[in-house]
Amino acid sequence: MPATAKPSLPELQRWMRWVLTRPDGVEDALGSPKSLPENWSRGSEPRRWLSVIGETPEVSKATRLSIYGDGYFLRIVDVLGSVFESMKEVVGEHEFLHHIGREYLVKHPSTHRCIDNIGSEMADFLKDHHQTTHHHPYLADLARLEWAYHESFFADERPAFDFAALAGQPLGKWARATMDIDPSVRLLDLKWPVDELWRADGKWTRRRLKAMKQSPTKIIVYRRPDALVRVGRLDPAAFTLLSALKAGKTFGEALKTAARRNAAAPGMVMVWFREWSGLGILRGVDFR
Amino acid sequence: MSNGCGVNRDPFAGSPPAGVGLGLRSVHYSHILKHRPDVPWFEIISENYMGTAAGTGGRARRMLDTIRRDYPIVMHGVSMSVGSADPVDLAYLKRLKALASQIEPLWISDHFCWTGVNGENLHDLLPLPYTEETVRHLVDQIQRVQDVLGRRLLLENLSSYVAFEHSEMTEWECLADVSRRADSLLLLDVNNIHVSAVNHSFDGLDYINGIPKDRVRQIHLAGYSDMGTHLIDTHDHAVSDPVWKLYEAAIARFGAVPSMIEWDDNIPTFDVLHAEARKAERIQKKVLARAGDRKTVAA
Repeated sequence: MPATAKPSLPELQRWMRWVLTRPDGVEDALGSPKSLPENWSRGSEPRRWLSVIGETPEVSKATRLSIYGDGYFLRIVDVLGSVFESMKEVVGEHEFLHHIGREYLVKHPSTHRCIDNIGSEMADFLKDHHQTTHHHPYLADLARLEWAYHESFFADERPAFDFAALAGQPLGKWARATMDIDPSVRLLDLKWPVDELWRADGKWTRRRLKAMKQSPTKIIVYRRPDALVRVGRLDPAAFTLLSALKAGKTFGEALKTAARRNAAAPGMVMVWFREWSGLGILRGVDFR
Repeated sequence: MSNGCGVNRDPFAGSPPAGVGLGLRSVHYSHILKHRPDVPWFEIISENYMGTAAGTGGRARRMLDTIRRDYPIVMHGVSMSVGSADPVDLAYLKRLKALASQIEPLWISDHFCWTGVNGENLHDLLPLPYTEETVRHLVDQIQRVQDVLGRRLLLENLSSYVAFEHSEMTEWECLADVSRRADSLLLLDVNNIHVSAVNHSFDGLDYINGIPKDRVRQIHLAGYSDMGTHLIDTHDHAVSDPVWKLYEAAIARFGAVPSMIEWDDNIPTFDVLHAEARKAERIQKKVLARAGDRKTVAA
């Protein structure tokens, strides 16, 4: 851009977005000879754009811009750290803040108005982050669990439901019934028992982390009627049943699938339903 | 009120709220519910209660609904991004409006800024150049927002760390022009005026005197961090003396405008926060009494 040219509002904002979101900082971006996007409409030399910033004797233009640029990463990575708290403890604060968090943000810049939506891609992002997952192969599962917890916290509310009130329904109607599962329910089929790690709340040793073995783990995350989010393990047949019901299958279809996994499942169903209704997991039954 | 955009619902029809409110922060939920403190109204950060892609439930919304039964609420947003070159985000506005229809706030405010462009959000309040192009763009965007929300919007001045060489007017001239042309209102942040005044070497009193009296409907007060060569708006301190001084000037010019203490980091106990609000109330009374005395003498 010529030093005297006046950028339009869209041009100015595109340049600011670019310079403030460089992972190595504003100074580095300004010094980079060819780091502006190729399709840039005016000039390609980043430092020439500094002419649009007002001069002040005490603080350089680049330092002023860095207040925003540094804040961009600090603020958003801090939010990521509060969502993925266990993950941050496992990899260490420095690794999380300066590598995983920053690299995630570079790959998945926020397109959301609400900052709490950032982080939805973390588990997939980690699958390709071999440097970290080589040391912590369970990390993507831990991220899935922590994101499920976060989503469950914000899920829509449903009115309470009394399962006992359905006692009089004829048995024949149950086969075609569908269940309303609480929107906070997240069902996770994990390869690693990361719920143990999550539950330990930082009170683990490096030796224990190293000794962790793969073990298929079925997890339910849900929000209780008192608004607290809970993480628990599910029996594989109960997991299958609940997954099928959550996917909209009828009770008859879901039960058939669960029985294939465990022949005793049909005998347990009413016990599970009563329990799930009390915990706010089951919110209603629709008899067609 | 007429702004040519079909907006005619004045949030100040009836008895306007007064006094010094407080920001509603989660660390104080229990205290508020237990002690029901004497606070005229609370201000929420709208986005904290708009939910996520997963939904709009959870403890925060429950707490807000409960507190709303006893206190008026005003909604203050950080993501409307009216200054962005991108068009206003209708999906965001619909969610904001849905929250407003449930909370019935006294008014809705956001910032005189942009937060992102090309569909990306930097989650920061970024400054604008003060040009005729910016004024026209803001007027157009604000009118769209007011059409969707069905009410006038309050926009807050920023703390800023950069200014632009091609600005054609001062920040306060730009704010005044935009609010007149869009028929919007102003939330004057006195701390932000002081921070920007130090950072850009202007006189905060010139700013206050350049703002039209009939547009200011709320005032913010907060603390900043002094970095030696510049100030940063951190909201993690008590209100500083120069900001209290400027607040006196603002009350003298704009009258008993509803004011509010913002404290978002290193949040103190509720009692400490409440004491700051009481201090602002005392200043309001002192300044208004002084103005009353002058009128009496003049009469």
